[in-house]
Amino acid sequence: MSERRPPIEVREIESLRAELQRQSNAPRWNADPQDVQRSVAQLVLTLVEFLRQLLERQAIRRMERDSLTAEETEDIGLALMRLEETVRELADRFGLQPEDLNLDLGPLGKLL
Amino acid sequence: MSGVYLYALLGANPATSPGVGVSDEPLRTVDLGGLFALVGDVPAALAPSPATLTAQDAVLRRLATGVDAILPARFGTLVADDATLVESLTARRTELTRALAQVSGCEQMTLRVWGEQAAPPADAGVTDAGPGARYLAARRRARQVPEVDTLRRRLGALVKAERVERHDRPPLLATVQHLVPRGESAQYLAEVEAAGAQLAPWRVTVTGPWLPYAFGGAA
Amino acid sequence: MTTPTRATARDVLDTTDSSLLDLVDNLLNRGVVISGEVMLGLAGVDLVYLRVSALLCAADRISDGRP
Repeated sequence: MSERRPPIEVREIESLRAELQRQSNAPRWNADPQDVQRSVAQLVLTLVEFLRQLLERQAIRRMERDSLTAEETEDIGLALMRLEETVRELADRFGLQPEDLNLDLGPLGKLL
Repeated sequence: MSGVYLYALLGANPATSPGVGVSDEPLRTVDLGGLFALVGDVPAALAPSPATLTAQDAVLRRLATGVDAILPARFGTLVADDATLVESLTARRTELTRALAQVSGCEQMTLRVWGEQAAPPADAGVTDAGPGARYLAARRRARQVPEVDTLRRRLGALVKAERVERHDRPPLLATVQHLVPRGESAQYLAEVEAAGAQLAPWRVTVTGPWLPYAFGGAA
Repeated sequence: MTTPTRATARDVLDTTDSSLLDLVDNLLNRGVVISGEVMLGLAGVDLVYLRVSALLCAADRISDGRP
């Protein structure tokens, strides 16, 4: 290939590798017999988080297409904000970090 | 456990024999009604390694020379049988057909955006908006990469579609996938090279062309 | 469904070859996902596959394909 490309720096490669490593470390769900409640909460909140991201994406798309009134934008924004807060609070109550809601739901990686 | 290994979705049946897959197994297609699944019957899914990943990508690149619209599947996608495949995909036919139409005749260029700090939020004129509207605006900014706006302007119609992922872990700020007509990658690279210093304080590196791995889902 | 171990997936990232990293990113993080499966286990024993392909169908219906 004769076309020139901007060279990637060593620390940039390392940073990219670390990011991919982080994504590949997504936890798999396995109910802990000592704390089945926490495991179930993790699964449920992960699925809710998946849906929240879908809803957010759809709301943003409609906002960009100007198919939301100012009032609808405010209402949906508030609802999404409260949903995000609720998920975070519930997760926190079960001792779950944001990364714990990134369950591996696919063959070898994240669902989204 | 043996099964049916999914390689890709195709917009049309290949005109010539699809050849063999990564395990030297004969490849075949499954008609999903308007689109086709490219599969191989294998004894087990292969573990990911530089060799197997490269081999799978190579199988798809070869197929792509004879098919305009191809959507690679995620590595490791093994199902029990054709019936499971059809069941899993039929309900999503409309979306998948739309995605195949979009990537037809195109390939993917991958931009990595580097820097120490993300671009500051532009004045979006929502200063007098309520908390809900401001939240939505902030969530929207999290899905954007304004750092390469200058490059986007240069690329113009070369970019048919875009997928974005922000990382915001300096120096890795974001990844941008661009869908570009096949055969135009040299021009794309020339524009990236020429944009160079204009992107400061951010840097961009680019790999590709790839098959349209990032364009199988919704925007 | 035989699933390669997570340890192997991480091993693939033991490289500083930038084009290999992008290859890994494309094949393991992207591409069409046709069925998600959650392994439901108890006490370290895998028991049940929960197919979330229905979730993906819902995702496609909610997603708006129009630009």
